[in-house]
Amino acid sequence: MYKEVSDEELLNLYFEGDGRAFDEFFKRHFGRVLGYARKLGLSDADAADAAQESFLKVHRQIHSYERGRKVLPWFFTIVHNTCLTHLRSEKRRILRENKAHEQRESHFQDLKHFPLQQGPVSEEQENNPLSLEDAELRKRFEKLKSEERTLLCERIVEEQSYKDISQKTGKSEAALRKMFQRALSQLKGISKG
Amino acid sequence: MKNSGLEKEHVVIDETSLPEYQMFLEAADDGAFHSTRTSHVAERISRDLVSSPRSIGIKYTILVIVGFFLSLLICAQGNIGLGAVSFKIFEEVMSFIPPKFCGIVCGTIFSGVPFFFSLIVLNRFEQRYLLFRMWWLVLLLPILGAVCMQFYGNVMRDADDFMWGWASSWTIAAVMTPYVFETVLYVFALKQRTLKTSST
Repeated sequence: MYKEVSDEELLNLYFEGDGRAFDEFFKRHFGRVLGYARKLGLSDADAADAAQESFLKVHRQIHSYERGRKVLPWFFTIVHNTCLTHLRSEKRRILRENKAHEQRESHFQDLKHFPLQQGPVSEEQENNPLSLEDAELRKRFEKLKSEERTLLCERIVEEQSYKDISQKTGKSEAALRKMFQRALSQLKGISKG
Repeated sequence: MKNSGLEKEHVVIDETSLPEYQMFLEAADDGAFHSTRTSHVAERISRDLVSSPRSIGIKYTILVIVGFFLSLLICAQGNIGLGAVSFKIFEEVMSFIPPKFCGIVCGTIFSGVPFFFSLIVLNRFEQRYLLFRMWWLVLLLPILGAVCMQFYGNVMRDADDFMWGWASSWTIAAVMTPYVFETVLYVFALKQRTLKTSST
């Protein structure tokens, strides 16, 4: 029905609340937006998100669409800004992940250099219960599963929220809380003993 | 010739963004990635819009009829009212306003309530669709409502105390009120602005 209608007229009809005009506009331009987002360097998933967000923005801004305005430049401005926002947030996410990874690496390095309690306890260590405890703690820490160790680092050292960790790992917040408590109680066992 | 056309089209694009704009014009989906969420967005937007003139017509008619009944709960129109409160308000209004002006107040309430009721329930797209595409329905319903009220109030009930002054002012107010309100709504909220182009 609207296949022969120009983009400008489609948006005028969309402005008037015509659902079929929007459907035609969406069909006509979704692929273009997706392709453009990918060309800008967004991943498939991010490009799809950006494309959807662009159409949602058009929907919010259609009330200010002026009759006689060229559609494609107007639409391009919305799409371009949305893609840039996604690119920036993706860049921030990568930087944050890299930083977190580096921090984690450095904490593991620190733990590597932690004096391990091997063999008989020396007199000095006997006189210093704290170092004994630290060594025991180190042992217990090493006995934890790698994902439990990572979780402890993320929660205690990096102070990340369960929500962020959940988004990263794909595990539910409840499962993470349980795992954290379990790991913590395994570590705390030293003070009880 | 083609270039000048493109330049004209690019009139709002910043020069530094022209390469991106060209890329945008040439971009196309290769079909490699299709998200199921895609259709969700389209569906979500479509829900705000009008897909069928019949359904929005029926919805609006029902809203207006409910609005008419709501107005009868607030203030009795002539001899017709719903509940004791509406008659009490009617008598109060009648006691200090002359019948002609009282008719205007009552008529305004009778048609104003459905207008505001539909304003609350319908979104901006639906209101625009009704006003731009189904304006005849917006014009017709107040007339039908007023005719039905007059017919029921004066003919069916065979009222002896028919007041021509009150009835005529009531009818004019009942018919004109939604037109005035819709015009105000159109001018301040629904009208599409036209791009002002400079002659240079």
